[in-house]
Amino acid sequence: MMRTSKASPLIGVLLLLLLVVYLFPVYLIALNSFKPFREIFDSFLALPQALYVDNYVRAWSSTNFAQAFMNNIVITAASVAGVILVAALAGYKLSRDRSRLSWFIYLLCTFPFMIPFYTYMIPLVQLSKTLHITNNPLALSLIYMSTGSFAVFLIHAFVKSIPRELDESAYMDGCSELGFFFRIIFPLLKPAISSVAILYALWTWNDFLLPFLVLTDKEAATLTINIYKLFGKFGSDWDIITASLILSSLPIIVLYIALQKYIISGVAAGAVKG
Amino acid sequence: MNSIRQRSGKGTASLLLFTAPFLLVFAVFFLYPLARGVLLSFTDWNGIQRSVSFNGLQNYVELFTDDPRFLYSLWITFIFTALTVIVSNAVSLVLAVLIEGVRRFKNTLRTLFFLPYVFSLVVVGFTWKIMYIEVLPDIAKLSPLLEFLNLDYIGHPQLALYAVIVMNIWFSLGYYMIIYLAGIQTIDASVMEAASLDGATGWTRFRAMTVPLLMPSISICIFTSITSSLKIFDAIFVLTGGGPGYATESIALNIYYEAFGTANRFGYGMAKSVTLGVIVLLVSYLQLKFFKSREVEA
Repeated sequence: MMRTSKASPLIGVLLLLLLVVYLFPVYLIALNSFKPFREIFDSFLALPQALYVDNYVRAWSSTNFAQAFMNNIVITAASVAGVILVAALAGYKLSRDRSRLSWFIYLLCTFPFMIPFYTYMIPLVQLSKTLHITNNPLALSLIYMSTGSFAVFLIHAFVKSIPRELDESAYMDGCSELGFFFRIIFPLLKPAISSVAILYALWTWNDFLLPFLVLTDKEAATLTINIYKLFGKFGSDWDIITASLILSSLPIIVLYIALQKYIISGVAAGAVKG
Repeated sequence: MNSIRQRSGKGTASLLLFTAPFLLVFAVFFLYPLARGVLLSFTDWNGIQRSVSFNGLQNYVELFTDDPRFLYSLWITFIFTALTVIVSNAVSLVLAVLIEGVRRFKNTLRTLFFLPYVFSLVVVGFTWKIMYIEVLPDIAKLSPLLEFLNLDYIGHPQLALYAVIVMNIWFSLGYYMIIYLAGIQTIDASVMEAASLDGATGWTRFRAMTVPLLMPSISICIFTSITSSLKIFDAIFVLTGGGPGYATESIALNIYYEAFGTANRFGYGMAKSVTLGVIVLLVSYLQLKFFKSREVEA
């Protein structure tokens, strides 16, 4: 560990000040979500005269919260589970198999990691329409699974740390390969898998453009889409907007506070491997 | 090792079995649209008509000679990337060093500075819209000394781009900070102590020791920030929509408006998409080469 020998209290105070400034926007949104419109209009900075929760009642319906929340859960859960499954299978095998074909498949699977979504966005949206899978949260998670390149890459790298002797002893015991994978290897992949789960969950939960383009029905929309739609609908009705922003972010804030240690180390591990 | 080699015939079958699930979705939802898009970028396809005719490089020629709005979006993206990369890396690196320097509440500080990164950019965009339109003018009213804060941040062509950049840095700062913190923690404490004993003070130590030893983290962060800035979309889309005029329109926004706006020129839009893909791949490749050649073993 690095240690700064002196001036530690001064740095502490400086950081505290920075933090206050840094989180000021979040504080203000939260603060104003508890004020009636008239008070917000008077001043954004003043404290609420009384705790006013009416905005949240209206935000619940304006964001179509219950349904959008469920859509988010379905999309994120299915995408993350799907990515983990297909990427673990592929990443493990591609790491173990040293043949030329395996190397070729590995390159094919991982090169798109650098290709921006915008490069193939237009034909992808067209394809979804042709296949009639728009407005289908489960089908959307298939599209997210197709972006599993980075997961394959992470798991591929991690498998190298699992000794090969393990595979060989299992073959001698006459274990079926898939059975061996799910019983022995899969549990050992836990660190890599949790990193994949966190990165993909954060990303699919908050993703905007792809869902915006393929989930056009009100019933299929996610929280992020419904927040975006508030722009047009409510203009500058900041009371309902601030409450909607907080309400729609609550699930991710709660999850972040509960799992902060894992989220931060998962993000760091993902970035460093990348 | 031997037992695996002997299984080669069966080996191919099992290789395909394990990779098939991923390859299937990958082929359908990535390879196919990508290939189709590249092909269509050489046509005049409008997304509706059945007959499509190839027009060679015509789309690409038009892009670079007869589309000032697209060329301007290249320029905007370039400015956005340059400023974002420099400022966000400098600030997050210093922040990480400061946080590593305190004894207590290190984890709390880390957690709170990372917080904005878990929000969706649409929420962030709305938050900053409120900051720019309502809050900063309200702060300006507090004292004549703060009068300078009363500006039309989003509506002014010159200011709008900086407004987006500030917002985007605010959003991603915690992400880079985490990577730098992880890097700092791998630096051997004895190396730093030796430097202190040799009389190296704060700034000298930072410049002569911390920065070189953090080269791997710095290259990761610069790499990530360049590639993500080149394809910036959400942040701009929600805060300014590319406006006022085209003052904040990045390449990705330009593609979006070309494809899903009124013109419906899909073939032409694909030419733009492919151009963006090539730019990102090229820049990534150059960076990898550059950083590989100068990385210091930490």
